[in-house]
Amino acid sequence: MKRHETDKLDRMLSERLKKALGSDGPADWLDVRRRAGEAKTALYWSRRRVLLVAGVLVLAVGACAGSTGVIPWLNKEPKSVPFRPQILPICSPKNVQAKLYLQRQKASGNLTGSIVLANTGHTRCAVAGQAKVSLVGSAARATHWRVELPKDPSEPGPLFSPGRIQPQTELGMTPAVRRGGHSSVYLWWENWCGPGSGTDGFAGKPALKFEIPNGSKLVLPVYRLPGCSNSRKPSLLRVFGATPALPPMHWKTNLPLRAAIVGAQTTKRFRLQRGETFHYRVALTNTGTSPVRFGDCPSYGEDVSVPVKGDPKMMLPIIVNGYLLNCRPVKAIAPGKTVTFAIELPVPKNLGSVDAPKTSKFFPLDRGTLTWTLSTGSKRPPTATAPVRVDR
Amino acid sequence: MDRQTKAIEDVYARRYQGFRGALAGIVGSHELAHDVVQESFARALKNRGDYRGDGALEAWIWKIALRVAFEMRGRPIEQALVDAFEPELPQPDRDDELATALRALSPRRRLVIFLRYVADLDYAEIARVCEISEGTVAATLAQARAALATSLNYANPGLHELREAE
Repeated sequence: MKRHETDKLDRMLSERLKKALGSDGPADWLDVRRRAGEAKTALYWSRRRVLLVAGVLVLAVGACAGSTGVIPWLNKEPKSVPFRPQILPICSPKNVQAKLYLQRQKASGNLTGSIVLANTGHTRCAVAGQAKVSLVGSAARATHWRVELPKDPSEPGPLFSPGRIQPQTELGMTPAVRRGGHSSVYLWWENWCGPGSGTDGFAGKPALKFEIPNGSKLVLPVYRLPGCSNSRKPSLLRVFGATPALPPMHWKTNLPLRAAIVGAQTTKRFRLQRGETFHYRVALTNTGTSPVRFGDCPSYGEDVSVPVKGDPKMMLPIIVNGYLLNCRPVKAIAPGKTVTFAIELPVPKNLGSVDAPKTSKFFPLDRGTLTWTLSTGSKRPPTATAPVRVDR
Repeated sequence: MDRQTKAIEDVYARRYQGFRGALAGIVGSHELAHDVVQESFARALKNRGDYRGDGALEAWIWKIALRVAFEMRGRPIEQALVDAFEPELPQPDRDDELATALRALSPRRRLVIFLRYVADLDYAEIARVCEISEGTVAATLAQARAALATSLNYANPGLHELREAE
């Protein structure tokens, strides 16, 4: 009887505990095998020797990281961006929409702005190749103008271009889950001496024709024109490379992570020197009550933006990068705990005034802002900023 | 696929939910518990040659799982596994009364409770996993069961057993 009652109590406790702890969860044996290194291809085994050497290096770096408590930087860009042409279909022209944004600089009357491309289709797709930009309409025919495109899309441009112009820009966006599926092409426009010079409004203005190799021909009405500074010279419209759209994460909820750039609160302004690598650290703190576990390592974006003289509210990015976060050494961030990552930011040699001395004076490079954002796919991703200056 | 890989896969297929549930109680999160289970079985696969067959395979994997759980909580193992954990129910608690009763138990008793009632290990397996004797398992379990029964207002036929163990 007593044994029977003990068994009954055992059953009751077992059932209640299992119910409280939950019993539903996704078993994944393939993941186990992958973690064990037993789900690799023949190609993997042929590369084992190389990986062994790499592994030793990683361990050495990891050991260094362990001694300082800082996770080392991973010099790896999100591979899905440049390699997407083999995976993603090219966007159908009907699924690509564009908007033109132009901002006038009060001091010079020149315009800065961007063409923002968006995928309105139901599936993820990509656009690739060099865009063609021209001005159309009677005002354009009556005015001498020229368009300057980046000479080599794979090389950084003179001033505004991202650190690395992606040969392909992913426009990943679905109607149900919008995942950062837009991309911007930056513009600089100066010296318009034709009809409508220096005015706002659509009347009497040219239109901007934007063609991308997928067949999209987008005609964007121009609502603002730069002022005339030299009527003997043609109007110049500079078009810079598209910023990369980082591959989205699959987390659908906001992460309880707070990002901070170490030293940003105490240092007056970080100094960035052309042609050198700027080293900084980002601390991620778990502000939630459950551990944050990384699956596949997320990517992060970083940009350095400078204000436009005469319009301090407008910031122009002069460096835009995307890399993978080196999350492998971090299994999980426990509640209340902070993990610090070392980050490296290559500063282009020609950043600033080298190729564009005339225009660079409008951008105070000593009053820039470094912004670091973890690409989580959420509305409020962990973001940190720090004031920076680019040494002339 | 070799025989031991198949055996480990069988344990995984049959016992994944048990591992995950018990580990959720130990590490405090279903998500982390899943990670611990995956990593534990991966290590078991990698080190299957170390399994000498002198006990239940599941108990051997459980031992790995407890060490993985420990590592993932970022604490050094400075004491016996059975006394080192501070098991906790994942948030949000689904059963406040039970959670309170569990928190009143010592870490050793809580761990044994999870291994017995959620992971469904028998006394011998718990003894092997925790590196304690079966008698200690029986005593610890009886004490824990008695304490839980009192807290939860269950009839406790095990009090006599408890006195015997003490």
